[in-house]
Amino acid sequence: MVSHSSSVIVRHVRLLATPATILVLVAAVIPLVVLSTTVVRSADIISIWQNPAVQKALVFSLWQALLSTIFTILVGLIATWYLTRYQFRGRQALITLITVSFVLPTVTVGAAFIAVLPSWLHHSTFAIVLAHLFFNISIVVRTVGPRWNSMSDQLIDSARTLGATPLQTWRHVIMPLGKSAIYSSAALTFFMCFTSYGIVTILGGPGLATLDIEIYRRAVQLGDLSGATVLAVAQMLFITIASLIWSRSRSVELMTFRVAAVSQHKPAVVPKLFIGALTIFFLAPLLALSIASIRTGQNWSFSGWKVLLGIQNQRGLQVDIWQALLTSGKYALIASCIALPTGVAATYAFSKNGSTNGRWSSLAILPLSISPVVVGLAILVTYDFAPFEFRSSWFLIPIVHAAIAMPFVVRATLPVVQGIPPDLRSAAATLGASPWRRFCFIEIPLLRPAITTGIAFSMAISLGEFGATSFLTRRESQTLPIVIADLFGKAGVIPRASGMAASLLLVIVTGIIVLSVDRKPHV
Amino acid sequence: MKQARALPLIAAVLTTCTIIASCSSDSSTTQELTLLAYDSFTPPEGAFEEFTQETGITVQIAFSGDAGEMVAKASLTAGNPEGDVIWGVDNTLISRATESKIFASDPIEVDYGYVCVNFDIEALGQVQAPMTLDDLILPEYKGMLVVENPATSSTGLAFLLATIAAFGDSWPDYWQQLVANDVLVVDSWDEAYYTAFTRYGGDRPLVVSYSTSPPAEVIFADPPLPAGSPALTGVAAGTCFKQVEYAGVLRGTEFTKQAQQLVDYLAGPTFQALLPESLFVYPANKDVELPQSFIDYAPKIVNSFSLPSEDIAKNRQSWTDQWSAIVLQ
Repeated sequence: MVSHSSSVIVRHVRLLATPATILVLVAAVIPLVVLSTTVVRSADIISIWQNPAVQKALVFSLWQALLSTIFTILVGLIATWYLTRYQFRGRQALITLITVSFVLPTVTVGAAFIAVLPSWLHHSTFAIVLAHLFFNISIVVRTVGPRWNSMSDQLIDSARTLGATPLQTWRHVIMPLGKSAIYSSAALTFFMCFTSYGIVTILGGPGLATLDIEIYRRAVQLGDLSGATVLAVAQMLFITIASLIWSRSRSVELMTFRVAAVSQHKPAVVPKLFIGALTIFFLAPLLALSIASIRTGQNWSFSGWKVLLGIQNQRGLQVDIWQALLTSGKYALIASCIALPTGVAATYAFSKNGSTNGRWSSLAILPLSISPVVVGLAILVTYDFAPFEFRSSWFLIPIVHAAIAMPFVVRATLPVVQGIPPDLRSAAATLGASPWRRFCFIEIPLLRPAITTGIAFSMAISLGEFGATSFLTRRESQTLPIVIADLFGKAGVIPRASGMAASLLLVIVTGIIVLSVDRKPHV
Repeated sequence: MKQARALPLIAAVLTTCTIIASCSSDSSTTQELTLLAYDSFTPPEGAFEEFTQETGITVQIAFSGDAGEMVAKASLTAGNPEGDVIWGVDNTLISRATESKIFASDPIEVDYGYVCVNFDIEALGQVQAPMTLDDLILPEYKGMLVVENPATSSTGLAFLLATIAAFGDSWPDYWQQLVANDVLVVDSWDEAYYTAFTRYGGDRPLVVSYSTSPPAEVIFADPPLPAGSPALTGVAAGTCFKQVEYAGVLRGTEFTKQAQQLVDYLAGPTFQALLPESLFVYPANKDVELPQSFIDYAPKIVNSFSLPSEDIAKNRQSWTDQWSAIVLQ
């Protein structure tokens, strides 16, 4: 009976990692190996590290990532605490705002930050850290939030009644409950900041570069493909190995869109101030964008919007925003179609009957660790012979988007799959349900919130993706982020206002997608 | 109620995917050529209609990132190209491109433009506008100029090359004086122009941009300017570096003859006439008349700086490294 009760899904569990493995192999690993064997000169493997620019970039990558992570975790934990402990008006809107920020294109956010920050802060590590906080705080809120959601008021109250000071309560009750979620979000934040590209180029100013920027400079500006590839492979290995070590004894934590307030407390003065400041911090860049989109020089005007939406014709400007929206939407749909099933299947492979295989699941981070430029070049030299002649096919773009989004699908579903009690499956099996029926009628309904989260994440990530898309050859119309970059390339008040309007449009579209799954708070 | 939400959503997503996938495969009966171009290559709609009518060949544009990225990709795929013709390899990149043997035959010049210091007329007010590179180090322009980093921006590279062409080996001294005159360096053209330039809320009335930015400012003015209005921005005509862009048949194309026809069309009068007001460059074809906006607002650049493409390719890294050491310590 026991062997029968383990479902087909569980029995062939390892096979379920196949689609995800193929996706990662096809979109990243195989091309990288081919590129390495084609362009790398063996001398560079050692000598590249002696280059002062490379050393500087490496040190700066580590330093700013460390600083950004500490800052993000600190502010993120306070934010999560208030968002889970207090009920206030606009709470859900603030959570949505924080999530939308996570998937905004860096070009847009960089421009918005420049608009908001005083000029003496424009080019500083502080500006970079602030922008990284803006992007990644949602990782903390959405990972730690669900943990603290499961902690009731009574628990804290009883700790207090038993004589624990607030500090003791924090150390012995609250922290342990969130600990693994905090570790998990810290790791992801660190890797996101370590490979930061757009934010550092815009806000860091000249002279400050991360390893990813140095890779780009070598590959494109200096024509040093060999050096760029060595660095890209090293970065991939570093991040993969680091996340393997980091997650050895820890599980991957849930990332969900739903963060509930467990108590109905109204915030006191300090939380109110903090929430207010946080709201301003997240609203200000969007407000700056909105204002800039209706400013043409000294005037207020909707011409930027009119030109963008095709209501008004503008000599010298070719924008087909509807086509771009359609293309972006198509890529986002296909990317989520690929990322979702592969991600969910991988999740089953990683989770054996409720126990985590944290080590292997951490490998899902791999696609996030490779420089998009190097992936682009690698794809060019890899898929250039029949029958694999698809290096400049349109479908490479959604495939690469799917590879980037898949780690987030795994994060959204893994803890939920692990949480399905094995008894439930056995019970259904005993009652005569086939494995397929059990999957459809027990597991899918339980997974539903995680699946919608996964769809929304992958669509939003695909919509905002710029680096890899701009480097892959595109024969069709442009995607939304590329239209934005094109508009900002022409001199004049109309292209600038239209570019700002297009950025805001991207924010709105992303917001709608996130809101559509965030609508009903799920406790 | 809640039960019903996810399954229809998944079903809808999957159905849409299938429909999209089945729609995207179309079999073409007419011949098609692929033109590789940088992302900002945006000729007006119908720009290739005449070519298609004459030859029966349709043109598909394949966007390949910015010009630097495009050349990096074309070099890597030399002999087995992603397209048949390439548009827009400029003189700072052309020698790297020819060294990697990306072309089937010699590429031809298709357009040119100038990278020059622009000034905001209103913001300068009573201050006389600068005209030459030497002017820029005068005390009256202290704290006024913003330039792009040549290591990250092609505009910035062109301006650095102008100073190298102008001052030869003593260009580092010139840059030291610019630094002493409080020059601001940013990473990209759009940050310089749209953030630091006074016209867009910054505090720098002088910016390294293009000689054709003033006509663009007028064309893109809002509300539209009446004919004969004074210009909004001006050009320091003695600070210009000439950028030439080339197009050519890619080595390895199956359709060399047709590809050459396309290159000829790109250099021909019909296509060339579209360039000024869509890409904001000058047509290489001398028979093409310039539009009124260029005649009125783009100054004629009589003397510009330039350097041999081979020198640029050879010294690019050492020049930008040296520049970084002086300007970004």
